[in-house]
Amino acid sequence: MRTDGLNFDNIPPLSIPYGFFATAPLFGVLAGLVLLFQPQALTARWDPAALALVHLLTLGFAAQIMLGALCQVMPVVSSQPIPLSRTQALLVRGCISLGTVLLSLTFLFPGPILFSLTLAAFVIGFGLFISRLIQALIKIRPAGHTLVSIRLAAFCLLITLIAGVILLWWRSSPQTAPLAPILNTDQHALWGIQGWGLLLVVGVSFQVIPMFHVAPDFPARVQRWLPGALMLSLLLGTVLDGSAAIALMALSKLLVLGYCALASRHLRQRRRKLLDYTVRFWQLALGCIALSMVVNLATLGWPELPNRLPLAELSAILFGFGGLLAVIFGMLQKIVPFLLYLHLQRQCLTQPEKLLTLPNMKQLISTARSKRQWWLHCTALCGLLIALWLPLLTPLAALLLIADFVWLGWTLHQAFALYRQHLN
Amino acid sequence: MTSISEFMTSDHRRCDEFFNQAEEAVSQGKWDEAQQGWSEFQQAIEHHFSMEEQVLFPAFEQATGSTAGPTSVMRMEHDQMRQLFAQVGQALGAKDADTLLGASETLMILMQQHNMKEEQILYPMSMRALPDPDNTLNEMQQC
Repeated sequence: MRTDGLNFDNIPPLSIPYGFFATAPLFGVLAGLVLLFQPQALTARWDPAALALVHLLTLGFAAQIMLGALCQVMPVVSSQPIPLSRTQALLVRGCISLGTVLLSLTFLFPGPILFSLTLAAFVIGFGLFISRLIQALIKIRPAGHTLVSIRLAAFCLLITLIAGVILLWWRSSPQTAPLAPILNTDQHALWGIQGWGLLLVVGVSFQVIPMFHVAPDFPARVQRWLPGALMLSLLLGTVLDGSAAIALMALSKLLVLGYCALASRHLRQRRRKLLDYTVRFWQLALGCIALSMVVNLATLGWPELPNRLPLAELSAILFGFGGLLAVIFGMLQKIVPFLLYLHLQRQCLTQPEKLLTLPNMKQLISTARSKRQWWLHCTALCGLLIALWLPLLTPLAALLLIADFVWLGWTLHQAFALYRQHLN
Repeated sequence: MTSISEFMTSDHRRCDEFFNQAEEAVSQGKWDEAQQGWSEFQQAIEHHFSMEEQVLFPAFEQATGSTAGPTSVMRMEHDQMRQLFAQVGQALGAKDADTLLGASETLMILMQQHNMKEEQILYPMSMRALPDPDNTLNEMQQC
């Protein structure tokens, strides 16, 4: 049996995942600034500033963290690292960062030049990353349940990006657009959030909830069928029309609701009951995702409701900020200190006397810091929800959003500073 | 009959359980209970490591003809965990809950990602590579 393809020890250099993690909060701050100066962005979904805000958060923040985390997690769950060198990772990060800023500008000032530059940056950045990810994913046999989710999520990301590029092409330079949009804006958002975002969260939760919190494993049947069922209902709901599509969309919301209930039960049954803000972030996220599904189901059942209430925005804030972003914030509280510790420990293997002086995870990111992050995130979430009904409060919500991301960026910076201090 | 994968995975869970009891006792300031939980954990995990280091890994290395592959990384990670056992042990002696819970959090994550590699990759691979996995399991159980 060949074992030389196994790279258990091939954890990527720290600069690859940490680079993505350290860059991402800047985009959260930028999103907050957009909301502060363009408060209408919260409720006017077709407003250019609203489109910029959403993409700063989804591409600039969430996608960058997810790419960084994938670089770290692939060798652990599959023994196959993503074959990305330091320089290539820097190129991916640079292009996605630049592309996100250019994209936001393209929304504000549509035109062929900005669009071409955005397209070029994303094709290089995402193209390089996705091609390398696929290269790693096809080598893995047999794939575990988490890997199936990662594969499906990567497929959804690809569809979302292609559909997004075509939509943007039509918006910026309709006369040169090569083909009609394959998905409308709602479907593009759905594939991005419920496809790429949620499938990744579901797949990761199957691993990390039992692992980090000593909770029971998710039932094998759920792990085997849920990601595929979510993907299939999304696909059929997109290609079919009329009542069949509505029924399938409703089914996918019910599946997500079922997942949230199950994951919450597993968290409650965890045997590691210590105070842990990652658990609290998970609980918040599962509650918000479930609420957002209830709002979506209400909209499917009573299509006239959104004319009276800002339900699309409510659902987006609950799912995006209260759900996906909360999972990311919670996971970073564990992943980052572990990553820094792991690299410190590896560097000290030849100097055992140094090992005893290494900071542990809670010294790298203290519980008090995580607690503050949790409160800031909850407060910013409440601020955004209240501002939906009291638009006068939007600037306040924007400031809370900025504070949430500044604290995250500062926490990561402080942890890294402590790492550097011990490295020398 | 139980497979290597099932047996070792359930042994991981048994170790987690002892670890958990010790950690929870520390967080509640029950130091005697913590001491007992910790020594049970150490016994359980050292026994687990012996089954791997003395029986499973050598058998795997012989079957695959490689000592530089995944088993060498697993041995290195065992050593990394042992260093953290020492830190937790020291903090337990000093009844220093903050240091202990910081070190135990680190150990927990290190241990879990190590277990994940073994459960998802190494054990299933051993069962395919070994000429007589049932016999190897038998030897491990007598360790």
